[in-house]
Amino acid sequence: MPLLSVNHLRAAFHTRAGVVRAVRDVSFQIERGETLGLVGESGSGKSVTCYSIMGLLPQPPGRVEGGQAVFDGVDLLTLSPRQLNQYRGRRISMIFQDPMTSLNPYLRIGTQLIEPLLIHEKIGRAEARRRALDMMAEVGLPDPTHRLRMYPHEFSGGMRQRVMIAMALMTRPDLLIADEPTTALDVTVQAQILDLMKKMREELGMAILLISHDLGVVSGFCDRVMVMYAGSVMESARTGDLFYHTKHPYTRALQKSIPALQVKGRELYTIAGAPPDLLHPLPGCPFAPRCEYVIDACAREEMAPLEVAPAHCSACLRAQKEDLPW
Amino acid sequence: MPPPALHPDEKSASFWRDAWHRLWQNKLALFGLLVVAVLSLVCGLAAPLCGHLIGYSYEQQNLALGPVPPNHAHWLGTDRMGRDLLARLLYGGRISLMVGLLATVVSLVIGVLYGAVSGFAGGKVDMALMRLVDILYALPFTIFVILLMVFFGRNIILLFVAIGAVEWLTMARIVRGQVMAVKQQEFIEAARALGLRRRRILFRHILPNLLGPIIVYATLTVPEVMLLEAFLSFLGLGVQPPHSSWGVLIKEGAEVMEEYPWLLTYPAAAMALTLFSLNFLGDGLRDALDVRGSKD
Amino acid sequence: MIRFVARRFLETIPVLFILATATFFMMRLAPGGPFATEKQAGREVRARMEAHYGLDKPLFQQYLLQMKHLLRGDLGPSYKYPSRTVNEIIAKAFPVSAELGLEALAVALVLGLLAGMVAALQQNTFWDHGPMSLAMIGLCVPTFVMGPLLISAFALHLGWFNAAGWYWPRDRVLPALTLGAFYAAYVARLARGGLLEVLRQDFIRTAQAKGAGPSRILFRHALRGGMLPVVSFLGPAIAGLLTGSFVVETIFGIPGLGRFFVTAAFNRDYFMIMGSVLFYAVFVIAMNLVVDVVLVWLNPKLRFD
Repeated sequence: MPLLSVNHLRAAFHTRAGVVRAVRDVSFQIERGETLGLVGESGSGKSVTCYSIMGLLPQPPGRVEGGQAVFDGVDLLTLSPRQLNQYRGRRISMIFQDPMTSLNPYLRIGTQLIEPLLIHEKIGRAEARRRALDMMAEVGLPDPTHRLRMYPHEFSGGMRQRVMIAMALMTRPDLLIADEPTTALDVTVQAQILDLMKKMREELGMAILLISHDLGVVSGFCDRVMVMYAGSVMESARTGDLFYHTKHPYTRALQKSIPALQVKGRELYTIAGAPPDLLHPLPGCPFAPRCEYVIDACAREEMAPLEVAPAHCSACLRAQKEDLPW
Repeated sequence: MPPPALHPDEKSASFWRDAWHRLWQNKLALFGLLVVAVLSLVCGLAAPLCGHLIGYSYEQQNLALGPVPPNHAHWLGTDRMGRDLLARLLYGGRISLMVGLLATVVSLVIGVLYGAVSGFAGGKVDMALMRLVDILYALPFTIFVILLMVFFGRNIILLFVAIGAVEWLTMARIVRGQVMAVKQQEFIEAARALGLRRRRILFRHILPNLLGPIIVYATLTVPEVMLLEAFLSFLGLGVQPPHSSWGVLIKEGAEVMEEYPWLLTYPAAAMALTLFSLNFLGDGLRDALDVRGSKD
Repeated sequence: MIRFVARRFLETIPVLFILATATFFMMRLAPGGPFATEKQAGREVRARMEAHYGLDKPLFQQYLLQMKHLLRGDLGPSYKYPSRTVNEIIAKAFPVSAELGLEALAVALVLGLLAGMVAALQQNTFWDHGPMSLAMIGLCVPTFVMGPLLISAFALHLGWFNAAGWYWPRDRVLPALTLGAFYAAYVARLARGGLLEVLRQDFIRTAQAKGAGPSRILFRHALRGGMLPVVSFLGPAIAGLLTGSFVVETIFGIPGLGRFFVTAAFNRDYFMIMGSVLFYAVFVIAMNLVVDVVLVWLNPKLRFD
């Protein structure tokens, strides 16, 4: 049985301007110890998907409208906040994009680090502090004893993210959800953080759901990758298959857009058109207006990801008909 | 703050229109606006109104009559010297509102200038100026106003200036905070990169961002000023006879609260209503214009 | 930390000096004097009284004399109460005002924080609009209306308290409530605003992701940041409580410093005025120092730059 099984998840924001359908029927699975990458542009619904699973959607405008998120046999979406707290921070941890705003500026690092232990395990402060020091050494923070008593603003961006990782892994969770953990960091620091996460993955064996808009980050890190656009899943496959044998025009266009991979001196490739209006979703495939390979049926027929090759799903009509021109 | 677009007209339309929309939805704030508008109008026209509609002027005494509860002839009753309360209330309102408005203008002028200079100058000048504000903030200015009013006579102009001088500190802080925040915003750098001249940047981009907090805090300063005037009147230092203000009326009413309650009720209600309205309006404006606090 | 306090100290000295000078000249330049209204005394007697107090000397000489006395901590005699010195009067009256102020502050903080917290946590429900409406009333009703109203309701009609006086512990209740009401209202609004602001921050989301329950999030994460606006307000609040006490002391017949000050102002009791002003200034500056220290303790980003 997969560790996490998300089925037909739907989430929306009820704003003054209308209902924004941020997540429209998303399904995926993560096995124990597996790393799944979730890729998409801003507004594709990748973060909202994870917030919905964790029950972190801001309730007044946001709402989970349907679907299931079954974690180890329990549908998280049916749990009360108190029941959910048994899972959050203990079996499923999450780290966020901006470590400066995600850490409490008024509390010392040490206090924040030992908090998951104090909440979820019945151990004393001294013991918790000892484990915090160990963890800090694991994540490569120098001079841990000293740093425990410092405040977030005394750390650099990379170090703060290390703290967040340490904090998330204190309780040795089964699943770590990482929402764009490297986006706010310098490129060199990005690599360090990714290496750190790889190392922790080897040591602790947890499953990871990595969200990113950066294909490069995802390609070097994940076992499988899922591509989202406008709140729907476009394609999901093993990393190698997705990049070398892609079966969706959007993924292909994304790959073509990577500047480093293009011929120098030529005009840069861009995807024509603009991102869709989530307030007024059009029928059919959301990528149809911008797709190079669009056919009439694309804008009419209901799209859903279907298996088009072993362990490889695509929502593209033409892929499903084995009609892709590449 | 909502990110403003670079196109000047487009920015003004969407930000202010958005704000107006939010304000329109805030029933309480609209109520406040209505009440303030009506009261200002009525009190402002107190002079002709009194004569024709009510038939009494605010100074007309009727010692034989004495204090009378509300009745047909005197809608709100009379005070100890037989003066019609409604007339006095209208005139008093005029003075109170005027004091409120003018003192606020004084504090606004001082505060905005001080804050803008400090914010623009930056560096040591800014540090020194703000340190001064910090020190002054702590001192009970009101004591000085009391001393001023006691010593230098009961001049109504002095009253405006003195009260205004108490309230400018907050405005200075707010304005300085806004100027500093806006100065650093990336769109200013973008505007410079596009080659816009400094004056254009100042007027098109920086000033509109200052307007929001200024409007909000000005609206919230008026009730504070009116309370201060009432406080001074209680000590006998506010508006002097033959003029009266709501503060004076409340003081007189409080003295005879048990025997002639209407003398306290109506002025207090009028004052409270106005203060409510202004506060609700100010709150509504603050929400609509999405203005945050002053420090950090 | 020591440097912080020391720097404050150094700043205070010139401030007090300027204050004393400004007050001195303002008083002397104003028309009238302490004995101008003693109509019974003939002009000769007046002249002699003025000479006795050194009021006939040139202005600048009086100024220097005053400064010399101040440096020695001698606040001078009182004109209105010739048998007592200003130091004595302040020493007796200040504790009364201080007690009143502290009690009003307690009212403000307890009621205000409670109301503000409840309102923030129950945003946009009855428990938000209700307390905030009450707070609005507290802001819009002047102290000298609140006082007589409370007296009328609780002392005269219900008979629970005395209408005036400062003898029994029970006498403290109405004055403290009257003085504290405005500040309770202000604190409530600030607390609510501050808390709401903090609760929107990302690190609250992180705490939720860690599985923290609502009470842990409120008390360990939100409160520290949320209380900052309230603590910042304490400085001016203390100054305000001080001046507000003038009114309350008059209404309730409390023998505090406020009443003496106002009377002194009206009577041109120069030394009393000067003494009160300086005393108040020192007190308020000291209180603000305490508040600033607390502020820095709460907000590590401000650590003694």
